[in-house]
Amino acid sequence: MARYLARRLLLMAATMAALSIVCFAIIQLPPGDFLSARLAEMAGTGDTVDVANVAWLRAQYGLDEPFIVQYWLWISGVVGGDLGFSFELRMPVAEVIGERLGISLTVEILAIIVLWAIAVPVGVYSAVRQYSIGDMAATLFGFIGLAIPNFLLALLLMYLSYIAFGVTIGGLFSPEYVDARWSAGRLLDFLGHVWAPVLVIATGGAAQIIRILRANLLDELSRPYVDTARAKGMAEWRLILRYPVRVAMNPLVSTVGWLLPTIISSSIVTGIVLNLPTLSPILLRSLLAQDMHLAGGLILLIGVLTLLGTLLSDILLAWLDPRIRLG
Amino acid sequence: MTAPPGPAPAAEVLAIVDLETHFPLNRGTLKAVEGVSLTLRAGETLCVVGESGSGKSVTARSILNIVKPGRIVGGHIWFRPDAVIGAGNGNGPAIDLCALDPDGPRLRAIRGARIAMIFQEPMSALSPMHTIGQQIIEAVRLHRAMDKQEARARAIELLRQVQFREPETAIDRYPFQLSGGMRQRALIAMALSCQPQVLIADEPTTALDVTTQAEILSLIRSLQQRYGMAVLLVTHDMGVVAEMADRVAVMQGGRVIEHGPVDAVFRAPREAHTRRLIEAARLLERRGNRAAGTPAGGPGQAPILSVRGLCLAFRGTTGFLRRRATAVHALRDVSFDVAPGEALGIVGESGSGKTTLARALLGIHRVDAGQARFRRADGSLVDLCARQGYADRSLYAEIRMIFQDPFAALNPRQTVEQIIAEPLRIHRLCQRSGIGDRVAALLRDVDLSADVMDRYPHAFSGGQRQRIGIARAMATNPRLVVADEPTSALDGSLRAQILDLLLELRNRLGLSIILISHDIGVVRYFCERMAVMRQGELVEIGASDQICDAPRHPYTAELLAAVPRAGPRHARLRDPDAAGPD
Repeated sequence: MARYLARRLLLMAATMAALSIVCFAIIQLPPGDFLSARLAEMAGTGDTVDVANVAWLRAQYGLDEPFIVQYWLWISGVVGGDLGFSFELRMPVAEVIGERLGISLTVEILAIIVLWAIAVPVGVYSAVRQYSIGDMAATLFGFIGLAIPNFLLALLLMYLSYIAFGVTIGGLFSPEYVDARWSAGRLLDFLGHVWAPVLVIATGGAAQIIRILRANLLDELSRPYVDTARAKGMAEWRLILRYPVRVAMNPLVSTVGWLLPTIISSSIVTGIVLNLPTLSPILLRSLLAQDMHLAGGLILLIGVLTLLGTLLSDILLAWLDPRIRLG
Repeated sequence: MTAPPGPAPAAEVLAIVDLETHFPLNRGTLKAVEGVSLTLRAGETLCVVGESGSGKSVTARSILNIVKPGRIVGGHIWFRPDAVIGAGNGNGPAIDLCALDPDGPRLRAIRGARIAMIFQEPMSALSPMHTIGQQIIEAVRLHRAMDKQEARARAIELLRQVQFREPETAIDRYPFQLSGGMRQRALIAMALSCQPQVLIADEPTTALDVTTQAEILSLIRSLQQRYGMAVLLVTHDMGVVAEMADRVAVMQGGRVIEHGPVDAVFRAPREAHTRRLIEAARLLERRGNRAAGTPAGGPGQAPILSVRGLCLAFRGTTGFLRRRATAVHALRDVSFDVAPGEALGIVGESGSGKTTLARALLGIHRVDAGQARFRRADGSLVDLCARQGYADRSLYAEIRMIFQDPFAALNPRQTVEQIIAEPLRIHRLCQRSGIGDRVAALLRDVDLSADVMDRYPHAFSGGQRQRIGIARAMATNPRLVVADEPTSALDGSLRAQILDLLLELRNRLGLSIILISHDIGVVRYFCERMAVMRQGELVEIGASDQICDAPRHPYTAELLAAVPRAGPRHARLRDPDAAGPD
């Protein structure tokens, strides 16, 4: 086990190194850099430009150096714990990410819990009562959930809640709580806001999980071991939950790890529409503005989360499935 | 009521009366069982025999009402919990199992406790995610008030009774760590957990090879005597019937067409269908019509395939968390020749290396040592097992394979025409415009109509699919065909049909065939020569008749003895000395 983990971690480090080069190269691909984009923008709006400041920044971050030098400057900082400086937001990248990571994590984990809490019972019911009214309804709900883009659902939700309750949903806090310290009031306020993004993210994902679980379970329900359990005299629901559901959950468990990177990348449009202080809108902004240190930091983080997630899935699956553990 | 005079008839523990079980289809219903009446007496063995689709399995499953998505629509199944051997019918009330709610507590209290059932596929009849211990303990605790420790002790005792070695460690094994025979034993242990009065066994040995089959059957027999159980055994094999049955019921088309004591049915079968079933089982006790066409070539002619010193070991690591290095020697110094036009049979139990041999010859497995020189049509020699063996892809047109599982060997997304034409297209053996005619001719060769070309495999039965597989193998006019258990997934009479078809094709086309089977009867029927494999070694090779009449190696004798003979007089299991391995 220890050897296996060590080997996996070593491989992950190598993958990360390759990933960092690729992502830095991609960020650099568009012509120009953050400062030239900024200068053009300022010139366009007629603002004055502090030439000395620009020149200092260029020198500081080596923007005129060749690619490899810039990369080296950046990556040696990252390894040393300094993620660089966001030109756009005028604060260190580590601070930007740190500020929003907690919120992102909370929203995404809540969404995943809601998603599974909806999807697993519905998927099981759908398979066990195939072609019943309930199954048809779940299928319909599933396809609607799959077909409606999340941002549209978010817009719809905002519209409906405004029409029905006169409430604008957006952001995760009311203005008075945005910068407040955590308190019972702030928590209630947070819960009052967070349901909307959680619901939006969960519905799209739930539809998918329901379909996968239904298909897996339909295969398993016709297996002979289910009849063996029936012939033992087990009650129907008890045996279904104990045997075929256990097997059918396997492919889902193996994808649990993939959810980790979605903390940053899944809900970009939803995040923008609902004005969420999470990481996903920041990722888009940094890419548009060629804010290379911020974008690089975020993409690197997605990479780390992807690799960690895969490792987590593999370990979880081995723990759950004896065929993998011992086979 | 007064007891009848004379020796009391054994009490009827089960009485099936006018049973009807139907399955809903897309259009209409399938009447799988139509008015079946059977009785099972305490302590006896009743064999229900028939071809696939005769309704025998559905009849057996109806007893415990495990027939989803089907439904019992008529009749009664009377169960007498107080029936005992040697007494008249008990006075206690009989329960009509058909009248009980299939998911209700009353029927569940009978399932597994009073009437237990084992199924055909030991591979998939156990949950892959739970140890056999967990599954047996659960069965015990469903019906008996025992705590986990007691139930575990009971499970270990059950495993010992079904002849597990080291039951204390075996109890924590997962099904995939056990062989098919061991899994079936675990299922039997589970079925016996509450000492049922009736054991229903639905084709319990069909998926096992002949030696394992003999062991499992004798185990069932000895446990039956020990517990005084009645056994209802469903099978397609008259050989199994002859070994096991006290009485036989022959089913066809959802009805019982003949039933009676086993001796009477074998000695004087009333129905033509019964005679055919017996005939199909006896077929493999002799040689087929294989000498009809003299095979091209003969002794003295240069062999088409010459195998020398093949060795192959599977090395690897198992276990995800605790890695162990393992090496399984699947082939040990295997050598033989195949003459042009000859059929060589390779016999052995599962795990003997016979399938590995086939795969090595087809370049699927890389061998560690040895060579297999194949004489091509142009006279040149090529070593099939060399690294560059199949570098010339056209070799695949000369050597073809027929697979074991007719369901898995055909792509479900291709039509029959696409399936059969694929080798023609790959090897560019046919003008595009001529492909249809060629496929039609191939289909006629395997006795299928040319109109089936546009259909997909799911529309065909197992036997028909195997014919399609044979047509695909013949498409390129091969010179050597490797057939890996081509009939083991088929039941008795279909097996004979497919073997006769292969014989006819072989005689007509002068093919050389390597036929691999666990059933020495199949090989004797089909092949002039046979080679017996055991644990990767060829232990005996020679003329089939000679080996079968006077086996030199004790293992060959063991294989021969394991084949069930289609006559009750041959039944070894009735002889108490021969019952059960050790």
